[in-house]
Amino acid sequence: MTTAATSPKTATFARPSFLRRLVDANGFWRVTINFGILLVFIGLGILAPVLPLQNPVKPSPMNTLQPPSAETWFGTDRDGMDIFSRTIHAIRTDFTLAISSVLIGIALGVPLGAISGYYGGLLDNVITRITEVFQGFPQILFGMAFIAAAGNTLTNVVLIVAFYNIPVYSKMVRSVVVPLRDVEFVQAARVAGNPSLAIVFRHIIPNALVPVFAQLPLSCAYAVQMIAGLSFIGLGVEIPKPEWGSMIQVGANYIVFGKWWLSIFPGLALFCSVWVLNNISDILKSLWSRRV
Amino acid sequence: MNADDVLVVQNAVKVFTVRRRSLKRVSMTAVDDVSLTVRRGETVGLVGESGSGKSTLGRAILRLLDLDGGKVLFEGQEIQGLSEREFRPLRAKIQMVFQDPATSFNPTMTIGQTLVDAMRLAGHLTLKQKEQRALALLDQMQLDERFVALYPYEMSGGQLQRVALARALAPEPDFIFLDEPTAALDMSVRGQIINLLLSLQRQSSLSLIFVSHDLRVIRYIADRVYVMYLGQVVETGTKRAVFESPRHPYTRALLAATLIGQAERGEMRRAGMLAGEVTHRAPDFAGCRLYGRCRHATDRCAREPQALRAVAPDHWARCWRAEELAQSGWPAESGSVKEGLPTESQQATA
Amino acid sequence: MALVDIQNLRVQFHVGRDVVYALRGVSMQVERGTRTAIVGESGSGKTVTATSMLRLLPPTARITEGRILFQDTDLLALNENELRQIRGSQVCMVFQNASAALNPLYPVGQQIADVYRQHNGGSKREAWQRAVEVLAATGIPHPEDQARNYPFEYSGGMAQRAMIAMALVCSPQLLIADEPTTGLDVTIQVQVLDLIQEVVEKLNATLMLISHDIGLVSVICDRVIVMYAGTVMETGTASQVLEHPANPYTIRLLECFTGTDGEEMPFIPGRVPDLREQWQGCSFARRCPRAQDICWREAPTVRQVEPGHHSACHFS
Repeated sequence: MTTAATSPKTATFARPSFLRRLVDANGFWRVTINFGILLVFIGLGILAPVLPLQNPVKPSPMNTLQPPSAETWFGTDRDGMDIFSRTIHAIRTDFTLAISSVLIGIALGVPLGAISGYYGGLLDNVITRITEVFQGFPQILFGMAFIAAAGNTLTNVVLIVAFYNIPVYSKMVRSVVVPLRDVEFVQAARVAGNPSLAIVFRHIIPNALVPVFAQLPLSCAYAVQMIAGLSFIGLGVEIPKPEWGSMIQVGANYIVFGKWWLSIFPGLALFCSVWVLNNISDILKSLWSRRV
Repeated sequence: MNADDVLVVQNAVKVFTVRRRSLKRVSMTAVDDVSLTVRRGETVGLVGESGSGKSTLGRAILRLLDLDGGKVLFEGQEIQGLSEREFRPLRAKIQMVFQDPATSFNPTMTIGQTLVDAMRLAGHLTLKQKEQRALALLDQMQLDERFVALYPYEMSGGQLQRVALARALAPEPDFIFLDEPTAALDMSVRGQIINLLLSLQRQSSLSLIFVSHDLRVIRYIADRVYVMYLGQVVETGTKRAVFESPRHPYTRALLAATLIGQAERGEMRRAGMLAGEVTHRAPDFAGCRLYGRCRHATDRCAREPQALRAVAPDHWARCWRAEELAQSGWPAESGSVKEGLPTESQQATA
Repeated sequence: MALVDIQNLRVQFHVGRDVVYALRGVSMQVERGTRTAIVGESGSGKTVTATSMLRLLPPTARITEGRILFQDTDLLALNENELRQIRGSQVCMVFQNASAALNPLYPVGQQIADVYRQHNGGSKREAWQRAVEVLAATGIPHPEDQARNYPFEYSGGMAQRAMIAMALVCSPQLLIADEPTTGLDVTIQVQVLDLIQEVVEKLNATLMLISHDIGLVSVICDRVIVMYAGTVMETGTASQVLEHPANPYTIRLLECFTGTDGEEMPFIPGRVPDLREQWQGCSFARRCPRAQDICWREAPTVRQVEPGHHSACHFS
């Protein structure tokens, strides 16, 4: 625990920097390794087009289903495309789609849940019922309907997935907010003259974020799954474009034939990403969930 | 009501529907026709235990909940009927200090941020000015400047309660309701808050309601005292009158239990004792709320509702036997509690 | 031979990356038949001392040194089975938050009956009868009905009585009561204390009463041990410690409780030291009005003030 640096006469309202606090709470290596891996992934994703990789979407009918070797580190898939290259290129697709859709879901779901929980009454009832209805829809069907109506663009895919995250976060936040209404610091905020909306955004939501952090990595994993599901039926990401979820799904059919490398490598990549995201979420949580 | 009254509560009533332990739904009158007055610059001690209604009353005064009946007048103006928007500008003048320092601070905000937030209603101040004022307040509370950057979990209970007081003072109030502010603190640090409050009052005309069940603390801070039991005021008067000649059996029980602590006082304690637990009565029970626990109770106590009546100048008690009890004596505090005191039975024969 | 002899007990808690030194060489003796109070404020280590005795510490705790002798057996050297013999039949503990210490899923009478059967055998009916008897003995009205009720239906005071009833059923030699009255209404506290005294007399047992309220314990205890920041500051009979305290901490603490007649309420400036730190001198040095150089350098040894009355201070 470090405190603010102060010169003898002047105090500062500032705290040690964010990174400094993360390191203090979690240890240098934990923070560095996890954020480091994340940055490596992101870096690879951004730089993918300029890296010396095989063309990820060029089929090579003579090299289909080759096991990993010196030329193709992760082997080739059923169209002869290099899995290593595809795995790396897929970072761009998966990271952007999954993370942005989950973040949009959070950005809409959290305030919705907080407002619903704090105001209660009719507003709460209406919002809860609506979110429950949406949660009940069969995801793929709704996805198909939406895309059929609105067009098959990546943005729409993001919107669909975001849409399904809204009730998840709304419900979670609402259940945390309801007991928070009566906590004394919220009453103190009212006594200080805060209008209700200010209370919700400044006092309630920051204190309801812990479960949100915990859920975020899981949501990203599910988002990848859902995107894969959509691309499997031809919606969203067009077939040749590399995307971990569909690579795993398609490759699963070949495991029976002994061709394990199609699914494993993108699977490992997904696993690593979610694991690192999980660790990062724990690291961020450490700053939020302090006890007095 | 005269011009010197900062806060007047008239016939306040608040009823809750609760689930009793047996899971039946009952309506419980938390505040039952309570009236009290706070004059400018004085501290009113509000004494009572769980179920007395003291916290509910506080929340009603602060408009954190609404009364079902009665009025609350702040500097002559009725506030219980105002909408939140109309009332908000007045909030600067009516502030509160909460009981538990562990939950009365937003854990995600530093002390400095909390203090600045408390000055929300002082819209005419710039952020810089608010920060300056925050530092000044911390200094007044004998807290080092560096606390301004700390989170609540990094501070002790005693320090946090001083911040709570600073927070209440931030908008420059005329009145502060303190709900058991020292209950969660070690005995050895309570005095610091009490003395800070005392010096604040000496310097300004701040009016306080100080709620506590600990009479050791009330003894220092209060000018006048109201004793509450199960939603009613059972005794009220100046501090001296209530401490030296308590007229209601409940007050005597409280005094016997808290003020007296030496081994040989065991007798004294037992003399003032109440039997049993707090019993919430059915709405149709007409008699005194203390019936069943009071050793002086008779049939009349069970049948007749007791009114608050004057038993001495500026001293009221809700008991028809108050004068009789005064006869049987209560050891006057002759200077120091350390002297031996006769038991009640010895007094009765005197 | 003392019933309980704690020798140089040191306990640490490992919380995250921090180590909290909760007990720093605590030694005390409790004689058979006495009613001893362990008094201290937050961080004093009084509850840790009590829970250490029954080895009820959380997994984050480490006992790094010391012995706890109960009738000449070192409790810290026993294994789980042997400990279980002692817990409940020889040493019983009453906890602070009684409603939380009772299992919410079973009726109170059944919990008491179960404890009875564990220690005395007997049929279910016998055990139930005994449970009702002890509930009655602790002053719970309508004990036959209350025995069938669940803990959530009990008020704080009643739950405490139920816990004390459980102790009655065990007939222990030593009853440890950890802040049994904290959180209860003041008017109920007196009743609970009286009940504890009655029960201890009836059982002919020894009492260790742990509390932060020095005034309260003086009503039923004959010996007092004062703790501060993980060390024992003063021990003696109740009248010795309360009327002629020798340790500066005890003196200041008593002033806070009994009050002086001045305008201002007495208090001890500063705060309890951070138990994650270790220091060389006296724990109270930074807040003591009488602190001198030696107090900062050397931890005080325990000195006798008068027979039976000891204080850990360089100047007593």
